[in-house]
Amino acid sequence: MEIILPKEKFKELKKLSETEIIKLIEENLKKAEETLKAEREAFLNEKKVKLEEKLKEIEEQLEALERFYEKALQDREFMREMSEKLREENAALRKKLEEKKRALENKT
Amino acid sequence: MRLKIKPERGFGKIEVEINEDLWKKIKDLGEKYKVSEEHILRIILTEEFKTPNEDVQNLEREVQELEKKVYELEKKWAPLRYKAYGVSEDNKILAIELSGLLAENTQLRRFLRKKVKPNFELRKLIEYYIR
Repeated sequence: MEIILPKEKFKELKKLSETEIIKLIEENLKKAEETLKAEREAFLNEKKVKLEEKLKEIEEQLEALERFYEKALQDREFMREMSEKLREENAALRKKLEEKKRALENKT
Repeated sequence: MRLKIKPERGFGKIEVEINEDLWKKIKDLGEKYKVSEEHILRIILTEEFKTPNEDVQNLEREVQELEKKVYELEKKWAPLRYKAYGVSEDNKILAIELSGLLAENTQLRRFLRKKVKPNFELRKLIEYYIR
């Protein structure tokens, strides 16, 4: 395994013996774990912000969709009623028109 | 495990032998946090240590909870969108039908010399759904 370090760090390590480097690694494992926890924390915080934004967005979209759906249901009901009403009215008007036509024909 | 350390620029290298016991500890840590052994050794050798500010476990739970909520809402979204689309299509057909019926009504009323009743609300709806 190969690790590339900044020149200054490398120079510092070069002054240490192999045993001292091993000791340095061993003694700092706990600190490394804390660092990994901090990195995970930063990642999770970022994820949390993104998820909160996404949640807000979906909640708003869902609310708008629910409103649209409710309104569409009401409109459907209203249009069905109007359609029925107009169908009946047109039938009655057609009948009247026929009667009028017949009356005119009888006159002539 | 033989570890070679090199500088970013320049020559020279340091070689150290990491014993099995220490290597296992590094490996386990890597598996626990899903990072490579190189990453851990780099943190140690550069001594760029950090400390977490809060309880990471707690944060993990919060994120999981948020993921669950997003998933639940997304699950709700798809069928509702499908239903809304269905009603909207019904309304489009009804609007076309109504448009014809209104035209017929206006014509019949004119023939019979009756007053034509304008229904603005209905016309607006028809226009909306046909569009």
